[in-house]
Amino acid sequence: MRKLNYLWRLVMTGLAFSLFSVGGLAITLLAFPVVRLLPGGRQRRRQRMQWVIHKMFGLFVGFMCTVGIMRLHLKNAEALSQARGVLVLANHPTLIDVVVMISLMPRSDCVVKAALWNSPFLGGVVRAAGYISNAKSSEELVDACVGALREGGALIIFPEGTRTQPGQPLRFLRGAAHIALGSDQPILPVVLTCDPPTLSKGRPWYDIPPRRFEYRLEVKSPLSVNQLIAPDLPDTLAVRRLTDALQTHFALELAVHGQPAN
Amino acid sequence: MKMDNVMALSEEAIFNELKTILMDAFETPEEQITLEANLYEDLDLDSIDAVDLAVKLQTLTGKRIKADEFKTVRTVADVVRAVQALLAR
Repeated sequence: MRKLNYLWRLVMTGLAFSLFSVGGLAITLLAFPVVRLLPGGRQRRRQRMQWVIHKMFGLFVGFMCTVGIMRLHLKNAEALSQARGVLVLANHPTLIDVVVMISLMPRSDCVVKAALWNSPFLGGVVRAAGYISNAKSSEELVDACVGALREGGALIIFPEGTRTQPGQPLRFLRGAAHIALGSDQPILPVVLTCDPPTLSKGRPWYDIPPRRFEYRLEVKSPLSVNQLIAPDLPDTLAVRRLTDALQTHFALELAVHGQPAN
Repeated sequence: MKMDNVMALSEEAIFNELKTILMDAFETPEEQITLEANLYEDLDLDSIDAVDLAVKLQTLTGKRIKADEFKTVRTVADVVRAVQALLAR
């Protein structure tokens, strides 16, 4: 019976991955032209595209829960769906973190890899959604992120810059702090855990866990920069102090969940 | 420090000035700052820090640094050389 369950989850995980690609292609071919043809300016188009992605990711997460690959536990997730003009920071245990988060957020901005930005299948979608390409200099990238926040976007950033290295201590890059200091908008911390660990860095999709994984998403109370660091620090020091403070904050939250950051 | 003073600075004096900047602005531990140290890999600077550093060196030397010139800089020794070149201009 256990073996059968394992095989079922393996096949469904493979199917989920295929669906994700097929779904991406479907948005590009079907939803994208419709959104383009609807009246409204660039801004409206962006919001509609973000909404389409939100719905598609919702279907995808729903599929994974229904077939029994994962179980989703949400806490205070309404804060995410209402998020506007906030910097959403999350730790990054798995490949599906951004998918789960966007499935809860009708409006979201995020930074995407150049490879995705230029992809013939999904490039059109992420560009139309107004997502931000990381193929810029660091200064331009920070400016673009600050701009998105000022326009009322809910910008998702993973301060680790990539998925958490399992077994390693949490390590934040300074980009998130640069954006927070540049924009002066509140920070919404989202703590993610996945038990047993799966879809983590360096793990192929078919290396599935021994049982269905429990994916927990908890939105914490908003933070402001003033709460975390002393005022009037020079920029170079403020960004370092804030990075340390955020990293400590997340490390403590993860410790409370009784799990190391993986 | 005034520009006239810097004009007379030796390589060692430039290194010491740079060390002060790195310690004050970026909290780089003193013992890590050697001529061979790589700004990005060893001293944990990022490209936004590099822009800040260039601005601080401009203030120190009173001369404009072109962004392109500073992009090739990797080690502390590279920065010292760049400052020397700047002063010789």
